Amino acid sequence: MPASRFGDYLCDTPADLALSSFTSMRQNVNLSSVGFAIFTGDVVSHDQTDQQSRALVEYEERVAYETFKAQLGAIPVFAALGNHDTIPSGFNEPNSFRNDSQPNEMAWDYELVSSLWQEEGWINSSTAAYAAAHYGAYASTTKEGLRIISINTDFWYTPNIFNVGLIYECLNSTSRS
Amino acid sequence: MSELNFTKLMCNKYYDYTNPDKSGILRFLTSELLAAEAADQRVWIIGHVPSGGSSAIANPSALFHSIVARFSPATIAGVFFGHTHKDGKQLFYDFAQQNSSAASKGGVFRNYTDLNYNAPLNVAFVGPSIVPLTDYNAGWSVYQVDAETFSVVNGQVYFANISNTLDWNPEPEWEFEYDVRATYDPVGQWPSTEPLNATFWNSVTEKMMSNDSLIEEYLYLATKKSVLTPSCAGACLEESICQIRSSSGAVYETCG
Repeated sequence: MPASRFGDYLCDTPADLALSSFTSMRQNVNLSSVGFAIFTGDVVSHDQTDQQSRALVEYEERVAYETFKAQLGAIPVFAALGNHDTIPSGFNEPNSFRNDSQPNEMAWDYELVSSLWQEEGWINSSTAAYAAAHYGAYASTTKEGLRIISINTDFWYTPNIFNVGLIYECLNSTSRS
Repeated sequence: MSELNFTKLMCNKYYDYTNPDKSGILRFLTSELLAAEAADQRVWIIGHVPSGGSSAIANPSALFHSIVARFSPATIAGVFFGHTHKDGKQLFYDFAQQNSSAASKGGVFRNYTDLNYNAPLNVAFVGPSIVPLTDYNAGWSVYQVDAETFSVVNGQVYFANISNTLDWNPEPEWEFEYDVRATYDPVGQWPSTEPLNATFWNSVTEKMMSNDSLIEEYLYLATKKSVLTPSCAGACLEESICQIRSSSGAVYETCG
């Protein structure tokens, strides 16, 4: 049986289902009484890694956050990065990990999402700069005075291979023939 | 006669889980919390993967628990996660007093799984997902929050029943799912002026221990009332209550 255009128990969220959730928010909640929204991450589809690309991640992140802005208007959204916001999923390396001069492997991703959050007016430029350099993590104060600290939890996520430091302990032995 | 020298490298490969904060993300969190504490400012922590449960590595998530315990309930007004696609709660308890012992180098060792279950300190709200993966309905949540303390006072969840997708026309039908107070405090024992804090949720888990239907209801709401909610009984219910009371991967490992 084909899936409905509105989704299935075994499928990612179709656009029509996601968009209708905002309609239901307007129908059930007086949005003018809502101070802010939080989004706890995971924009990118649950596809196989070889079916994904950096371009897909960039496209989906942009479309998602622009949709949030279009639907919620003046309500700021404070987002956190999920394991499905990078490619491959869950990959986040500590900045201290590299011993060359290359940037963090996911620098492009952190720059992308932080610039989107800034473009939508949810965080300011200095906060966005911090997030870009620190795995998408940031702290920002709402207009009500609440401090929101957004952290990247992939650094305790079991499948993130960079959480495991592989140590090679080697013994030299020289033999002669 | 020429000599040939062989250098043989004998290597042992092992995994290093000893540094719980290689990225510095928890140092960042601590610095921000210290600044908020000094400024008498309330904080929400938002993140994706819950610190308790099977997806969290023991060491870093235990350090996170330790940080949350240090700044709760005074500074941290709320913790919010996602990832599981399920609607849920996760309690942070204080550590048992007797478990700290002086270490040889002047530090303190702590058993991160030795908790004082009479001292609930904070609660994480794990939000429902819109995405139906896997076998869940779609949901979103709205919270009522105290304007001064930023503590959660109540909440409601709305859901779209994925069983009905082929009947929806022209748009998905979103339904009211439940009100948190009406479900978990139906006779209004909890003062209306008190937030739905760790003490409240701890009392809910204690009721669950002697009331199977309450934890069954929690598990049904976790899937947003999916017809495909897995059946759960006996040890499965006990493990589910234990998971709510697990602040870190280390504590969760004791549930099985």
